[in-house]
Parts: sequence; structure tokens; C-alpha cells
Amino acid sequence: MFEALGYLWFGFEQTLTPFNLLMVSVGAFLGTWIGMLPGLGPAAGIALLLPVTFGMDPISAMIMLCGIYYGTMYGGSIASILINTPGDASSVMTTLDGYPMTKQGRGGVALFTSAIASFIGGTMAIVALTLVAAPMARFALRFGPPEQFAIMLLALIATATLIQGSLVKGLFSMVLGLMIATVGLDLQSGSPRFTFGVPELFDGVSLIAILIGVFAFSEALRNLETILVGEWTVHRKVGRLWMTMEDWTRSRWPIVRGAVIGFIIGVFPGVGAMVATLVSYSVEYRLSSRREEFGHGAIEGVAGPESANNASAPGALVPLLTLGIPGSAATAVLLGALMVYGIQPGPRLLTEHPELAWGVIASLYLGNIVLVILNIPLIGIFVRLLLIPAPILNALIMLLALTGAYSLGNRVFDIGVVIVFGILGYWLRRFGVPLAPLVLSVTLGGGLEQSLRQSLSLSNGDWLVFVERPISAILLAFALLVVCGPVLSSIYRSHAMRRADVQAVAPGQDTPYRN
Amino acid sequence: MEFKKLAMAAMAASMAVCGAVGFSFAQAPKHGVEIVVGASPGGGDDATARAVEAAFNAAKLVGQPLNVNYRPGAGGTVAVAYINNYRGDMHYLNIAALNLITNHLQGTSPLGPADVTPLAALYTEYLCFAAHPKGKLQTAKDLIEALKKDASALRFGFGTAAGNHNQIAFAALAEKIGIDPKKPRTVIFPGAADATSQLLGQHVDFVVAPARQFASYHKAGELKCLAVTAPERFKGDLADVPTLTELGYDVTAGSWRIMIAPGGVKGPELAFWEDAFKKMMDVEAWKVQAEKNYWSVNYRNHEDTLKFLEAESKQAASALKALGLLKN
Repeated sequence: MFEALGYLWFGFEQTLTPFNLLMVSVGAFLGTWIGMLPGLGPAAGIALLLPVTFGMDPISAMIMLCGIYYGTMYGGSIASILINTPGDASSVMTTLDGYPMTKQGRGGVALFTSAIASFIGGTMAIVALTLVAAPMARFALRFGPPEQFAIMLLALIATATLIQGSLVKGLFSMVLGLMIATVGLDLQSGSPRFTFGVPELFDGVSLIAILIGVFAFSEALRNLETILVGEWTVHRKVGRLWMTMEDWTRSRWPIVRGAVIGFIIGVFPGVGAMVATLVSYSVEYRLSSRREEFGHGAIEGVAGPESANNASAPGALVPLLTLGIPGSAATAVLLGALMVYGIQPGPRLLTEHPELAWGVIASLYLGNIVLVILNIPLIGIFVRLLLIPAPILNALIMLLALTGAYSLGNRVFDIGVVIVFGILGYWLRRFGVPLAPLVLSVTLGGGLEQSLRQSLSLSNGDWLVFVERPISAILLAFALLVVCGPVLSSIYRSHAMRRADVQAVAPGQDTPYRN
Repeated sequence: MEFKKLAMAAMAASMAVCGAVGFSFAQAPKHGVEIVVGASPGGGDDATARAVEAAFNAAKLVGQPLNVNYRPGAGGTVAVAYINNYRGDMHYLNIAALNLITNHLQGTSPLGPADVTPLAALYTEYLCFAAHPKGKLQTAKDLIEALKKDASALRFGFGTAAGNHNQIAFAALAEKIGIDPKKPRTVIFPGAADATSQLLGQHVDFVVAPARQFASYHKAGELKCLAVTAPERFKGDLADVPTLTELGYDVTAGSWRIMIAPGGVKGPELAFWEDAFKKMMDVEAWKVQAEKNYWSVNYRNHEDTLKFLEAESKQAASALKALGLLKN
């Protein structure tokens, strides 16, 4: 452990040059603004700015990219909270309570909570990365296809069972998402499915373009409607910016739990930050004594997932730095970047390029601090976004949604995807179908199907593979508990009530999914 | 006045000379050149594009700005379709690989090798069969014995796409051994890094991927490289790994990269690029990148690249047929 601190000191020596400090700050700053643009999350943000770093020395470049990584995550939360347009799938959960908080005039508080949660979650995870990287990475190797399938199934079920008010509509949204996830070349067989001979569909419908369409563009269409009938309000309430004592007491444990969940899930290869935010949100929902507030501006619903999201980033770096394998889409881009700098990451990255590995870890600490210093004073400016007259803000959102989609892969096709899914999202909202399950199942659907089929190929078609392996068995048991738990407890409760001859009170929990 | 006239005359004369020389030998690009990468930033295609850019700039071989541009999608098909929007225009280049052939064979791309202008073959990344040091496969011999005995008991993983260079290399070995290449329990992961992590966790028995992917694991003793598909042994970290050929199985296969331009680029413009890529092979910046990345440089000019593509098409077609990945 002291050894690790020595290395960390070495890492800080690498990082703390004026140029590198400038790079991490520039990265964090650019990342924040890019992350605010619809559709540009960490992976897309890093990919977009990657060419800027070509020509720098690898350490400075990686330090800048880490700044961008954190910055885009934070920027994504700002857009999710203020204008309901998540930058990528991992900030979808933040919209569920963040945006209602904005509508109640608590947007500043939500941003502040998100900044603090991101900072604490990120820092806790970096400390964990410093201390337990190697053993964690070894453990994570036990995650094969069956385990990946089990954890994704658990995340999806945990989310599905949050839908209470409108079960049919929620399931409809989820199944629609799973169906969309099947479009494209099938990884295992190589045959095209539902592509209609359109090459742009071979890699599937771009998840980010769907996200932009369903959230940003359909929101803009709905705003357009209110603007056209002249019902828009000139000023929205900005409200106070600081957290109260009550806000803090309500957020602190969700933040800590989010950090633990985020780090652990981040370490497992092929699972991703979005699953971490899903698990954190559903844990907070289940532990909360005020479930009715979820979906209507519960601060826990912002604090937990935000912490989990930022904690998953150092988690995903664990396998990258110790084994040379990426834990998430964003770290996969970082891995690719290392290759372009002429460094082949592998199990010896820590020993062969210690200056790089520990420099990256040290720059994560710095990036986190820089972001808090940079962003807390800017919250006051960010919330003024809401003071922009609705027609202008709306036009801006539409413009950014379309240009953001194009910038993903320089494809006009993706602009079409945004418009189609924008219109779909608009109608789904009108019919009260929640949108989050759709996006979540599009994100998870591909991995869920592939890991199921990989598992069955490896076991020669034997379904027992899922229960013979301890980790997957435990995860599936949890999933079963999540499904049966509420049923069992309601049976128990109705028995108890009948016996006590108390008039049964319906659970009366609202769905956390806003329509 | 005098001076201006003189300068104009000099300019006109020099342009005429340049033009004449250019016309008879090679026609250089007239404006910026776009190097299109058919994948997302980071990764093999991007690294190649950056190495080409750096080498061209270092030796000032093009005389016009180069711009690397990303058009990811459908295993390179989107990028090929993109450059072919500029038929006959030498200012659009793309880094192509075996996908150019297999996508066309499998009918997922209307464009094949015949629709573009190959300028030069750059390099081949030879592949490596790797296993876990604690697994049942300790040597190439173990692997071949196990495949002969009961291939369906082996779990074979690789990255990126069905019917790619990794699986075609395996099919070539299977053909030499005389077994059905569909026999092993085959699992495809999104990329080589994912396949590596699954092998480290012993969720699969062996993986095929470019040698570069495994070199550092092999040296660290984390994974074991059993055999390489190169014509001769590598130097450095993989020097102790035998080739399949020396084991008696005449298989050389790899993931190669060629540089293509849109269809219809010919004459002096084609001559310019052929010459530029030939010269690039001797640029220090290119050699350094190639060595670092385990790229076996195999320069071929336009004509030879065409022949090479023809031979590769034949091998790919028979491998895909054996794998059941070809419709007819």
C-alpha cells in the first residue's frame, strides 16, 4: 500500500508540470462544454478530440484525454438536468430526477449535487484504483459471457420493475428498445438483420443518434408545440444554487453507495457505466422511505447515479492499466489512442510505462479537483441557460441535436435517425409511454443477446452454465429476488393487513419514469 | 512594372516546365488530400493513417496538406462508398483491408476490389494462435492434436466479425489438418482486446489475433503464443514462437492493409501515388511505426497489388465457403 503511495507521488511528479496542468484543465474545460452538447458523451467526446492530441507526447496527451473523460461526464449531467438531453446512455438516469428538479426551480441545487456527487464518487474510486487495482483486475477476469449476461439481465430487470404505474407501457417501451437493438450485422453469424441493404444500418442504429432523437429532439418538438400555441413562459425559475443541510443528509449515503457500485461495476469488462447508474438508481429507490418522490425530483436520484457514473471511470481504468484491456467504451478509445502513440498496452503497462500509468492516475485526481473548482462557480452561469427565451433555446437544441448527430460519424444518415426517433419519441410521450426503458434496452440489448449466445456456444447449448458458475448464479438469484420480492412482500402485507383488519392501503407508488 | 512583367514571365515559364514534367511522369495533387479511415479514431486503421501522414510529411512527399478523416461503419464499406463518390479523383485515399474482399463476397457491400484503384500494399499483420499458460493447450502440437481428436471440445474465440482474417486463418489451418472449421465452439467478441480478456479469464481455450496483440502478454507469461501465421519467425518478444509452416502446416495468413483511391484513378495520377508510397517505405518515421506495431512491410505497386488481391479473393472465398458464411 505504501508502495502504491510512492508510485502515486511519482505520478504526480510526472503530471505536475505547468504544461500538463494546462492540458488537464483545457481537457476538463473542453470536455464540460462538449459533454453538454446532445449526444456527445465520454466515448464520443474523447474520440472527437483525440486527433487534437496527436503530436503531443503520450503522457500529456493521455492526461488531456482523462480531463476530457471527466469533463464530458460532468457536462452530460448539466444538459440532462437543465434541458433533459442526456449526453450519453450513462446520464439517462440523471434526467429522471434532475429535470423535474429543474422544473421545480431547483436546477441549481441539482447541478451542485451532481458536481459534489461526481467529485466524491470519482475521488473515492480513484483511491480504490490506487490501492486495489491489481487484485480487482484479477477478480474481474472471472467475468465471462455468462456473468456478463447475468449482470445485464439484473440491471434490466431492476429497471423494469421500477415501472409500476404503467407496467404495460413501460414493457412496451423496453421491448421496442430490445427490438431496435437487433438491427445490424449479427456478431456471431455475420449475417445482416433488418438492415434492408442499407450499409449505414450494418453497425446497428446508432445508439447516440437514438438518444439524441428520443430525448433532445422530441423534447424540442414538444416545446415547439407549446411555443406555437403561445403557451411558453418567458422566465423559468433558477432558484438557489447551494445545497441545504437536508439536501446533504439525503444525498451523502447515496453518493457513497453510488461510488462503491460504480467502481465495482466499472472494473468488470464489457458492462459499462450505464449499468452502474441503473443499479445505483434502483438501489436508492428501494432503500428510500420516500419512493413517491422518485421521478418527481428526488435528490437521491441525482446523487447516486452521478456518483456511480464518475466512479465507474476509474473502475474501467483498472483492467486497462493492469491488464491492457478496456473496461468501457471510453477506455476502449483511450486504448486505441495509446496504439496511435505507438504504445501497445498489455499486462506490463504499469512496469514498462510507469510514468504513463501513474501519470494517468495522478491526472485523474487533478482532473477531479479541476472540475469542481471550474464548475461550481460556473453553475450560476449554466443555469442561466434557462433564462434564454424558449423559442431561441429550442432552436438551439434542435440545431445542436442535428449537428451533434452528424459529428458522430460524419454521416447524414444519423441526422435522419435523430428526426425519425424524435418524432417517435414525441408520440410516445403523448401516449404516456416512458422513454428511459427504450434507451436503456437499446443500450443493453445487443450485449445481452450476444453474451447469452456466447455463453451457450461455449457450453455447447447447456443452459446450466448460468447456474453452475457462482458469480452468475448469485447475480441471477438477485434478479429473481428483484422480480419476486415485491410480489412476496405484497402477499405478506395483505395477509398481515387482513389479520389486523386494517383497511388495505394501495402501495400508491408512482412510476419514477416521467412521461 | 518591368519587374512585375519579368516575374509573370518567369512564373509562366516555370509553370509550363512543371506542367510538362508533371504530365509526362506523374501528376501531383493540386490541393489537400483526404486520407479516409473507415473506422473510429484509435485502432489499426487510424494508426496506419497517422503513420502514413507522418511519413509523407517528414519526407515532404506530397507537397499538399494531408487530412485524416473518419467515416466509420459497416466494416469499412461506408468509407469505400464515400471515396467512390469522387470517381477518378486522386485526392481521396482510403486504407482498405480484407473486408474489401469479404464484404463484397458476402454481399454486404456492392463495391469490391474491382470498383476501386489499389495504389499500394503497405503491410501485413501476421496472426498468432494464443492459449492460456494454465490451460490444456501448451504447445502448437497440443492444439493440433486436440483439433484432430475432438475439435468440438475446444472453445475458440476471436475479435470483431465472423469470417474476418482471424477466422479465415483458422479455416486455412483446419483445411490442412483435414477437419471441419465449423467444429470448435466458436465465439466472436467485439474486438481483439475483449477476446484477450476472455482468454486471460480462461473462458475460451484459444484465440487468434494479430501478433502485436499478444506479444507483451507472451513475454510477461500471462498468455502463451503457440504459433504464428507469418512466413518466418518474428524477432523480439515472439522469437521463440514457431511458425505454422515450420510445424508442417503451410499456412500464412494475416490482416493486411492496402491504400486505395476511388475507381478510375489512372495515368500520371496513379503514377504519382505509386511513386510516393514506394518512397515512403524508406522513410524513417514509417519504418519506426511499422516495427513498433509488428507490421511486416510488404510493399507492392498497383499491378502487384491487383494480383495480390486476386489471390486473396480466392483464398477468402474457399475459406468462407468452408465456414458456411457464403450464401451459394
